[in-house]
Amino acid sequence: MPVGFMILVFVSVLILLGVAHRVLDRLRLTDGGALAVIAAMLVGTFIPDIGITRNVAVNVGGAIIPVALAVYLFIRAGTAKERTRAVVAALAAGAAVYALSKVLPAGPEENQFMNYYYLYAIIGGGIAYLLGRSRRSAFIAGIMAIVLSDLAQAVVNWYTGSPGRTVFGGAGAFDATVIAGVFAVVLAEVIGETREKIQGGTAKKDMAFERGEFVQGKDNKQRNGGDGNEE
Amino acid sequence: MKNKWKAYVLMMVALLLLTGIKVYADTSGFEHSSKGYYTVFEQGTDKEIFATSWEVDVGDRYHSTDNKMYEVVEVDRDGKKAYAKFIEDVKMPEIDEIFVTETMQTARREKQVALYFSHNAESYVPTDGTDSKPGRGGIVEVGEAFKKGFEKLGVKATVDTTSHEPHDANSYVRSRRTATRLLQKGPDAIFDIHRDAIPKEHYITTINETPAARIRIVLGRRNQNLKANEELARKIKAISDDTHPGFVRDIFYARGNYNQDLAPRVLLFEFGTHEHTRERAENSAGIFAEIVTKALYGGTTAKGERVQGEQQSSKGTGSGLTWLFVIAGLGGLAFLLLSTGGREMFSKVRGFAKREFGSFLARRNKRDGEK
Repeated sequence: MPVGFMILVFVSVLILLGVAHRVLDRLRLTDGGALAVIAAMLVGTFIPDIGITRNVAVNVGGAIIPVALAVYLFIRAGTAKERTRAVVAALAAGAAVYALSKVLPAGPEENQFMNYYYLYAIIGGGIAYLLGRSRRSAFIAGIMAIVLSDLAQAVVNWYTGSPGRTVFGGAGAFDATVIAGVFAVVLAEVIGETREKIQGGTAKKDMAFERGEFVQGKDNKQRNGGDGNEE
Repeated sequence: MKNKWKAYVLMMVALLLLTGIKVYADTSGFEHSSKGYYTVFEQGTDKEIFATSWEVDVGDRYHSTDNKMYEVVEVDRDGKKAYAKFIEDVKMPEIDEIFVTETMQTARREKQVALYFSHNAESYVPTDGTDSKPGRGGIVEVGEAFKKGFEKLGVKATVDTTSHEPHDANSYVRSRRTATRLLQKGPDAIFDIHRDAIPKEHYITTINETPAARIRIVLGRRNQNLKANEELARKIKAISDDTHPGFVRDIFYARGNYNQDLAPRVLLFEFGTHEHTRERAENSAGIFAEIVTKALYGGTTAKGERVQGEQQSSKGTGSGLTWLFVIAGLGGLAFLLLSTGGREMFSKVRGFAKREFGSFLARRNKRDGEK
């Protein structure tokens, strides 16, 4: 490949991974932790897919690492309520993506504004945010929306004898799974910021951000807006 | 409470605007044939320009057989008609550019392309008996003929026959995985093989007294690699115009990206349409392999004109990078404005720089201090 094209591909990857890094940085991961996850996804992309059945396989960078991160975030969730919301959001987003894949037009040219993986991110992020206003839930829902939708399709293929092949996260770091997870968080941020703007300030402006979490500031326990549920 | 509801309403409106969902009742797994097709006319003259089974949108562009560029300006979805205005005559690449002896550096490197099928059930009715054969449609046989054409010319062609069924909105989500896997093998170009679904009169032709099908190149106009892919598409058409005029009938710039965002030199080809025999498309595949090989690796045309290969060219890189920086910059700026606005934005930018580059600046300050 000519050098120019190599630069073009490199910059494309860098921007996507840069956004992914900023997103992971906001999910209770340290800078180094976020970088390690990105590196693992990138390296995992190039590891050959792991075959499960003849028509089902899984990619390390596009499915195993993101799902493992989603599980980690789920375990680290602050409350049982948040965990329940994350599960409900993931299931709802998975069902929505599967249903939409059947009713949306098949040609990418027929969708008016964006590629479907960004649409799926909006669904995952939107549902998670409406349920719990949580970035972590948005990430979990974005990732699981695609994984669960793929799982449903794999089951349907198996049941109907369809030859369609399912490779979970097969495009690695560039798969719809990762894109939906990352942009679901971006969406949650955008909605969160919009809400803040509308209500005239954050509920957490008097709080401190420590180790990936908001904590009450030392000399101010007073809330000034929001419902204190944003995470 | 009032604010909370306002926020929810705003969120819902934003979601609806962003998604732009058009729900279609037809979920029968069509292969671009049961939906009908669009006929596109020139605005003002009502002269028919082209027909396509692809959904046509305002802003789509069309590079015609006679190398004129049109842009779609009006679409009548119920009547399946659209109108396009003439933009300009397309300046085609010169094919008698200085022939480079090390064209494609063939002696040093293996020539390699990869082929896959996002809709691998697509078939040709007269030969395959149906327009859609789940698992392995007639289009896969066309891909195999394309591969043989390449291999006769010393180009290694990898054919991936992975099925991405069902033919639904996620077909391209699944085929993206195949394309990524193929790209990891480092091919010089990667092609998604399809067939159209319009009346055969638009596609059938005869090349060297052999029945053949004409070919359409489709470019996704929503990605950073558009200019690079356009360069290759135009080169292919220029060589075809020189050797077999009209064989590569046109280039359609459609909404969507068709996995072309993954890398430069990722193209989508339509080998004829469902109404003619598969043999026509297979015959075309052999001829087309020769044209694509010359476009990629250089060579000599039937008229003895020399062609410089595209492989070592980086045309399109600048506009691709600009596209990326503009999108990333606008996205970042929009988010900053939304989350802050005015003076707070500058304060956040300063804070961000301090936080992200703090250790670097500290080292520099320390070094300056030591001096």
